[in-house]
Amino acid sequence: MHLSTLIKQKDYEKIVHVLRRDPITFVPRILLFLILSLIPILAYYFLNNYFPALLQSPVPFTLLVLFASIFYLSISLFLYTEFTLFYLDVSIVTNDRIVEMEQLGLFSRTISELELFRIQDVTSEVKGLFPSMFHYGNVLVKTASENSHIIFFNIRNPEKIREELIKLSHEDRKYHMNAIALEEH
Amino acid sequence: MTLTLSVPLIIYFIFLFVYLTFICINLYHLVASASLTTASFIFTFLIFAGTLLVLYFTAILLMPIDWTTTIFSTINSEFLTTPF
Repeated sequence: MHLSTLIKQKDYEKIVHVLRRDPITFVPRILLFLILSLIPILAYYFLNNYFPALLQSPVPFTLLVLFASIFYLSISLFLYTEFTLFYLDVSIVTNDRIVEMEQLGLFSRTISELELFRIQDVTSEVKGLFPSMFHYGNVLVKTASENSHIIFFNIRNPEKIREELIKLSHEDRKYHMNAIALEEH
Repeated sequence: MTLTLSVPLIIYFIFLFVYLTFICINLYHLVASASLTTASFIFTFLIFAGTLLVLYFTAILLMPIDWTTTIFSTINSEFLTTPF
């Protein structure tokens, strides 16, 4: 499936940005996976040095191998699920609207849409050492309505995206004003 | 009652079934939400390669195992005749 099909792209619509979280924010999960994957190796060396008989006996050996296999497959599944949730959080900015898709769990997903001409305020924030070092942060898009806002979490170059959103919103507002003026005449 | 090594093996196969189901659900989400890009394809490939490696080494290590070996048996068990 293509993104244009997913957002039901209109004829005049053009995809300007596909925003996902910065890949650097996924690094802690990879590090956790690597640390966890060391546990069976360390356990093997420990058992081999202190309880060598355990690894020579068929029953404990088989049970340990099966357990280690289940452990490795479980942490792989954990990593893959985390990656899916990470990667499916996507916002699509077109020249007409913003479509935000948020994956909350494997079976939970929210999709919200905001028309660009309704944007009242766009705020970008870069907080902390790592976001400052790697240039990622949040962008908060507000409309006149109290309940309607969209947040892009941990996206790359939030200042640049904020500026572009303001520009796109101005252009869309001009387009809508012209359309209203033409209708009135 | 006799518990042989085939019982943990059956549990392992049940786990494998659950594992593959969740892997397929993840893959389906990536495809259905137009997110199967180069990055996600590479990641998926690495996960699949890792899974195959784990299964290969598990099979190699467990090849010579006699699955009828008894883990625990209540028949002629010393525990039942002389618990203390």
